[in-house]
Amino acid sequence: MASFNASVLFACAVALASCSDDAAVAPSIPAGCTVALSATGADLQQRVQTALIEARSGSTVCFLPGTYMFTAELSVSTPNITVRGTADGVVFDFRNQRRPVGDGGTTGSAANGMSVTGAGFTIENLTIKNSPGDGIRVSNTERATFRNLKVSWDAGSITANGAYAIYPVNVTGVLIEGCEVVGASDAGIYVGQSRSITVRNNVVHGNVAGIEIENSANADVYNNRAYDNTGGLLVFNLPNLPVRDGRRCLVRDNVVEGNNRANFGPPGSIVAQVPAGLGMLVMSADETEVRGNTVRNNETAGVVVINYRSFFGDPRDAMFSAYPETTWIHDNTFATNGADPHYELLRAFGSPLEDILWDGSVDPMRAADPTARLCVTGNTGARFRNLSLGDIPASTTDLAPHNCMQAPLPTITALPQP
Amino acid sequence: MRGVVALALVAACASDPGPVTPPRGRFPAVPTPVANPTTAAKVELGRLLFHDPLLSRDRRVACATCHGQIWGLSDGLARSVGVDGIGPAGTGRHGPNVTRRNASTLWNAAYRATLFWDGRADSLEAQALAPLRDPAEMGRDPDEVARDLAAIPAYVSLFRAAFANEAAPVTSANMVRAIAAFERTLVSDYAPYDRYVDGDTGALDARATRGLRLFEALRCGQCHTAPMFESERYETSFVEAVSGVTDEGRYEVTGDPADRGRYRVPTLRNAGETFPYFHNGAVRELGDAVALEAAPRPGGRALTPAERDDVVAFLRAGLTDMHAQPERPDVVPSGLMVPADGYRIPR
Repeated sequence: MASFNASVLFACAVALASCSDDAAVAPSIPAGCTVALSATGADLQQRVQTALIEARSGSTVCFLPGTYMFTAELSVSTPNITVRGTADGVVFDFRNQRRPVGDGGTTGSAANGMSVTGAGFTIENLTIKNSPGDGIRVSNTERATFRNLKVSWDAGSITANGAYAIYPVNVTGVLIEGCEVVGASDAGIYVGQSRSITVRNNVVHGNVAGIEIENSANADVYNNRAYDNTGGLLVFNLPNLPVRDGRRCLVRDNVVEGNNRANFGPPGSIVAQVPAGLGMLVMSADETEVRGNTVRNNETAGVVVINYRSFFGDPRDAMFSAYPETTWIHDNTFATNGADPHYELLRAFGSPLEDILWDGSVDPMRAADPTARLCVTGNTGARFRNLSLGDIPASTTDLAPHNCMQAPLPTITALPQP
Repeated sequence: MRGVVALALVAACASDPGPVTPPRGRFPAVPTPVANPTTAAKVELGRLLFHDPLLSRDRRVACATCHGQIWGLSDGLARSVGVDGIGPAGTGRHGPNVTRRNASTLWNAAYRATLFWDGRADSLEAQALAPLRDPAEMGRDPDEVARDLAAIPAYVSLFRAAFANEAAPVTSANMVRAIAAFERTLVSDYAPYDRYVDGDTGALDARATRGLRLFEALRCGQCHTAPMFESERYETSFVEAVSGVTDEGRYEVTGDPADRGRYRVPTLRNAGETFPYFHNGAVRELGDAVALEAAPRPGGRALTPAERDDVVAFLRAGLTDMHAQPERPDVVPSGLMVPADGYRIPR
C-alpha cells in the first residue's frame, strides 16, 4: 500500500512538473502504471521525454489512447522501464520528426522513433508509425521485450521508409512477440548481434526483409507468418561486425509464403540486392535448424543455404567464417517455390527451380566432418538442388548425401524478465 | 524518497512555470570556446563533415572511419588503419597505413582539457587538424579540403548557415570548428551510475553495485575520477610496447624524462564499447584490462575472477549511456560513400 501511494505521488509530481498543462495527465492512474500520459495538451515531445527521463528504474510509463505526434526521437536509458499502451488506439506518429538543419532533402537523417539503451526494457500494446529512421532500436544492453506492437508507414512499402521497424542490436535476452510489422525499407524485425532470442507469434509483410536474425546466437523463431515481403525469413552472418559468431538459430513452425514483392530497398544498399521471391535464407550462419515450417509460393526459392562469398564476394575479414555449417532442414512442408526465379544467377539453372537451393560451399577443413554438413530430411514436397556454384555442370538434385541429422536445437524457454 | 522528489518539482514549478529541463546527470555545462559557440547549424555541418570521406586523400576515410557509432566512437582496432585501407570501419579493416596508437573514444571528449594519449592538443579544434594532416590517417591538407568544399553548393550553403556573419565562410578553420561543435554533442552523462547516485538504487543490480564498491575500495577513482571517470593525469602504462613502434608517451610533448611511457588516463564511460584497451590497444577484453590495472596501482591488489567480473559488470551496466549517439547520414554533400557504421551494417 505504501508503495502504491508513493507511485501516485510520483505521478502527481510529473503532472505538477508540467504546471501549465495539468490536463495532460489522466485524473486517475490505470492499474499497474506508475504514470499515465495522454496525447492532448501542449509540449507533447518535452512532456513525454521528460517523463521517460524522470522515470525511476522499475517504473511503468503508460500512454492513454490517442495519437502522439512526436517531433523528435524518444530515448530511454534507465533500466527496467516499461512503456505501455493502456488500451487499443495508442499511436506514436513520427511523421513530423524534425530533420536536422541544412538537410534540404539531400542529406538524409535517420532519426529513430525510439532509441533505448536501458536494460530490462519492455514496450507493449501500441503502434509506432512513420519514423524516418528505425521504428524502435534497443542497443547494447540486456533483456528487451517487444510485445503487441504494430510498426508501419502510412505511405505503404516505399524506399523512403525507415530501415528497420523493430531493431534490437547487441542485446542479451530478446523477446519479440505478437507484433505486426509492415513497410520497412530494410528489415521488419531485425535482431542483430544479440544472444538468447525469442521471436514468436508475429506477422510481417510488405517489408524488404521480413525477419532477420543476424550475427546472433541462441535464437528460437516460431509461429511467425512472413508474407508479401521481398525475402521472408533470413538467418545470416555478416563480416566486419563486433559480434561475428552467429549460431544456434532454431526456425520452427512458421508460415513463409508469397514473398515476391519487388525489392524497394535503397539503391546501392546490400538489402537492395536481395532477390524477390526468397522464402528463407541461411547465409554463413552455423547450427541452423529449420523444422516444421510451411514454405510456399515463393517465386525464387523456398530456402537458400549459401556462403557469404557466393552472394557478395570477398568478406575482407580474416576472422569471419563464411561457410554455412551444420544446417538441418527437416519436417517442413514445401509447395510451389522457385516457379519464376528473380535472380540472374539462378535463372541459369532453368525454371522452375527447386524448393531448397544450396551453393555447395563446404569448408575444405571440415569436408569430412559429419557435424558440419547440410542435412535435409523428412520434408514434404521438397525438391532440392546443389547449385555447386563455380562449377555449374556439376549441379545436382541428388538428396542422398544430405540424408543425415544434426543435434536438435533446444527451444528457448528463459524469457527476459524485467 | 519519491515524496521528496515530488516536493522538489512542485517547488521548481512555483518559481518557474516554464518547461521542465530534465536532469542531465552531474556534469557541468559543456565547455565551449568563446570563438566557437555551438549552434544547431554548426553541429549539423559538423556531423556531415565528420562522415564525409572528402576529407581524406583516398576519399574513403572519414572521421567516422576511426570513430564509428557501433565501435564506441572508436574503431575496435588495436591501432587504426588510415588511407589506402581496405574494408569498412571496424575490426576487419586492414591496410598499409597503421597508426601508432589506439583511436580514443570521442565520448565526452568535449570535457577534456588535453586530447590524444600524450595530451598534445588543447582543444577539439586543434585536435581535428592532426588526423587530417597525418599521412597515415587522412593525409590531406586542410586548406585543400576547404577548396573542394567551396566547390560544392550544398556545403557552401551549410557553411553560410553555420557562420552567418562571415563573407567567405568556407575555410579550413571553420571546417574544424564545425567538427568540434558536433563533437561537443557527444556527451555520455546519464548512465545507470548517474541515476544510482541520484538516489535510484534500482539503477544498478547487485553485481554492478558490488563492482562499484570494489571500484571505490581499490581506489580506481584516483585516476578514473567521477563523474567523468577519467582525469588529466598521465600514468605509466603496464602493457607491452608494439615492436617496431617508437612511442614515448607524454615525454614527446613535455620533454620531461619522468613522462616517458606515461599516457593520459582514458575515460571508463562506455568502456564496454571501446575495446581494445590502452594506448596501443594491447588488451582486447575489458576483464583483462581491469585485472591488469587493479593489481599494481596504489590501493589496488590482485582480484579474484569473481571480483574482476563484478567490476566489469559495474563498468558495462553502470557506465554505459549512448543516448547522444550520432546518426550516420546516408548521404553527404560530396556524394562520396559514407563509411558503414555497423548500425546500418554494410548496406
